[in-house]
Amino acid sequence: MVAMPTRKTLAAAGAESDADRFRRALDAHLSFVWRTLRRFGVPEADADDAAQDVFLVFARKLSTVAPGREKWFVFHVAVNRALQRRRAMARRPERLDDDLADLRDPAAGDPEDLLVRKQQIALVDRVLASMPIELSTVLVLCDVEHLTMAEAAEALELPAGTVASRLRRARECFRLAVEKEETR
Amino acid sequence: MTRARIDELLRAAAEEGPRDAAQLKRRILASAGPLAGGSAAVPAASGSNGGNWQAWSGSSKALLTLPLLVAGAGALLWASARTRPGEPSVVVAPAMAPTVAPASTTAGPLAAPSPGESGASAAESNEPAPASSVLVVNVESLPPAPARHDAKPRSTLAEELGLLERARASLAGGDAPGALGALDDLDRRFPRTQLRDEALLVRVRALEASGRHSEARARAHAFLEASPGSPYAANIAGAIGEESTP
Repeated sequence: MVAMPTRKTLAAAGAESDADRFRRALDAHLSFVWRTLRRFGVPEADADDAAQDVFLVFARKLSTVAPGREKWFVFHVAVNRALQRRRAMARRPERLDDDLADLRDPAAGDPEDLLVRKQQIALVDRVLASMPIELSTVLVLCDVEHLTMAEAAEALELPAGTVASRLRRARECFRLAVEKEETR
Repeated sequence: MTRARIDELLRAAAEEGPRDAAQLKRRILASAGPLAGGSAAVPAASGSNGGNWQAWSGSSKALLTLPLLVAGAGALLWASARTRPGEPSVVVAPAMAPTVAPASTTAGPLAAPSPGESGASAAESNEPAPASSVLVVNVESLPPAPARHDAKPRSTLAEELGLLERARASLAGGDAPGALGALDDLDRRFPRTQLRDEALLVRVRALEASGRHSEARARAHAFLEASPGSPYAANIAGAIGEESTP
């Protein structure tokens, strides 16, 4: 009978165990994944479940993810999942969210501030949904997640020049769409 | 529109996050089970209101990690055999019980293309050994371990975006047939593309631009009937000069 590996024995062998790698990625990228899901249309009420789902895909595929690409892997899974969901939801009536429930929760802060913030976020997400996907991905990575253009290029597997030109177009597109939304 | 207003909006989005990240982390670790060093899988770990999400993603989460654990055991056997040069290089692997088999049923609705579909998945590459009770392997006779660092996950999304971008650029440059060609490529290579709605919008515009109005209209109407609530509905209706009726 051979003993199962423990984290200690794997560490002794000089390798980071899958468990450590998974935990490290979860610690580092959970909020990033959660926000990415939100930016591509997952309602707040569903975002926790969706993030869990993304990390379970990551767990399943861990051995195929090159070290250093964990963040980009979970980003792609999150975008894919959100887009699939958006399509599925388009075919059925949108469920009403209870997003306003926490406005009455004193622990959540000043209700007026919260409402304004929720409205701002909803506006951002409506505008992102109206943009071409190749522009919204770049905008989210660079202007919401504040990645460098080089990082965004790595994430999207694109030449840096392409990312730069998409970012220019994305910002212009975003600005015009916000303007249109706010003058409605 | 002031720059400050745009910054304010983007900042609101950037500051968003899970309400209780620590609790969510614990939940994910629990559901990922042994792989993540958590306790045994907790099937009911998902939250209260995941109904819609789970409806289309319903995976057997608890089963996902077992093959990885088995793979980990294999890796350790390999490593320990190599770190003791003085000993006979023979590894005795326990026969793997066929209990890992259900992992292959996790494809289900998850089977839509996702990054990392390039190579065999962990589940596929760890088929349970046949029923023999003990497997004796001479390490020297084994092929070198695959270089797992080379297994860069292939992102189909990047390729799909590339084709869509090509279609859009062709159309913008007045080359509607080129745009339609790129969209045909997209359909052929990724029949289940997640950019389907986006691609349809570009196709309808390209058909209009080529003077194929009835075809454009037929495509648009079929879409609007099937997905009236899509965020693309207004744009697709607009592309054939109509207004969508949400």
